[in-house]
Amino acid sequence: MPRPFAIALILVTVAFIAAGNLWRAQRAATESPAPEALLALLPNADGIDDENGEPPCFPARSGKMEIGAGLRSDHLDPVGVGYGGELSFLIGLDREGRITGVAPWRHSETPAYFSSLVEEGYFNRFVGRNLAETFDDLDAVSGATITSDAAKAEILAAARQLAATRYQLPLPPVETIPRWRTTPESLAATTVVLILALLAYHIKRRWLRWVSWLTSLAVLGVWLNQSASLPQIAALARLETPGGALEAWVILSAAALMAVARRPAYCAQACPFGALQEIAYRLTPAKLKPSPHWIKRLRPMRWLILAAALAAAAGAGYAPAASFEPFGSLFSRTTPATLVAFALFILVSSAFFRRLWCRLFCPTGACLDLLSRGVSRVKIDEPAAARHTASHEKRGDAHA
Amino acid sequence: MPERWHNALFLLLVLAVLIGIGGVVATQDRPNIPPRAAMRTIDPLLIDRQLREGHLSKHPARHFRVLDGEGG
Repeated sequence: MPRPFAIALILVTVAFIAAGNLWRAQRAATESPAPEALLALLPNADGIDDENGEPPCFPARSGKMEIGAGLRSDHLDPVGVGYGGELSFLIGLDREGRITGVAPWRHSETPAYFSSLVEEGYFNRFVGRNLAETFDDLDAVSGATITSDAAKAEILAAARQLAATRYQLPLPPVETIPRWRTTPESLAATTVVLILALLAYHIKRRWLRWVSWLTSLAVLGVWLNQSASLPQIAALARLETPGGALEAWVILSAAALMAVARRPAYCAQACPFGALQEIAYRLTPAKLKPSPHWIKRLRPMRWLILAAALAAAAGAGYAPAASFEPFGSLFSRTTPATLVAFALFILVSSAFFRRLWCRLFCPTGACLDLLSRGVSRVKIDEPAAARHTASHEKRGDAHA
Repeated sequence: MPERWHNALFLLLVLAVLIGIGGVVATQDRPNIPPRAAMRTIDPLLIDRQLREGHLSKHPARHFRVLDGEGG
């Protein structure tokens, strides 16, 4: 890609993301749910007041009597952090501390995972239950555990805070869940995979590369289903505080560090989808050999895809734009059929053309590459600038 | 196979992946299903209509069997 075009693309994308962040911040401060949306959560109410009180809520009336309240969980102390950041809900509550309705208000979770909660009726399971109960029986939705746990913590904490303060109900203390979730085994296994990837990248022994790919596939793919991904990058671009599965952020940080050090061992060895593509290619005798001219011409597509996805997901707040990567879909039970079919198609194609996704499409790889090129530009330019200065000094140029 | 066939297949593959990306993004863009309204007042007219249309049983107890050790 010509350099001026690349710089223009970066500047436009960054400007779009910055404008999107400003717009979202302004909207979050001013936008309020429609009374109809709140009334749908408080079916016995015939009117709803504007938000007031401390903690803030929307008192619901039947005639002139307050029979409960609606609330925005993001206007109370937030506790629920999912994969994409903080989650927020609209909650209906009666004076006895019974939840009368729950609806998602704001979230940046991967749409497929969040939709699985809605489709499984997860939020309906809160309805009709009293906040004095323990809710221990409310299990997470399989395949979307972190999002379900974050949603449960957020809903219960916000509702209990309001019920205890406004209606003086004796309730269990507000439960908080840690921002980061991990287990020592999964963290240790992730570290082993990353170290193995670095070793395989440097030592360049065929058997070690295979061990690294298979380990990554088993640990990061099948067991943990974690990898560096575009939704994480979009969350950072939205200036959201990271949270959720610690392993995913350890992987992203390690991949970024490797890119900065110009040792792209993550893409080469540790990415489970990269490993799958590599194995598929090596096991297939037939190869597709297009002209290098076409490959070179199409390589900049990665930058365009990255720019478009980040502008849409982080700038315009359109979360599905960051959720097309096929990494996790083959290892998850809750992935939509379309994404599984897409991942399988890429995998089969990669059997004939080496790392089709990585080389031409992967936006996460493009982002890491950008990081690497940015650092190399600094390293290359410094000696050049120094040489330039030295030559001017030699000639006695005062402006050098 | 001549190189131009390789090129043509490669370009088709690239096109298919681009269409796939668009398709995946479009299918993920599903609206959230509105939550079930809770504590809704029982609507006798709706129940009558559902009974008439055969959606509800007039004798729900027939569809259940009392298990050993339960009931009473």
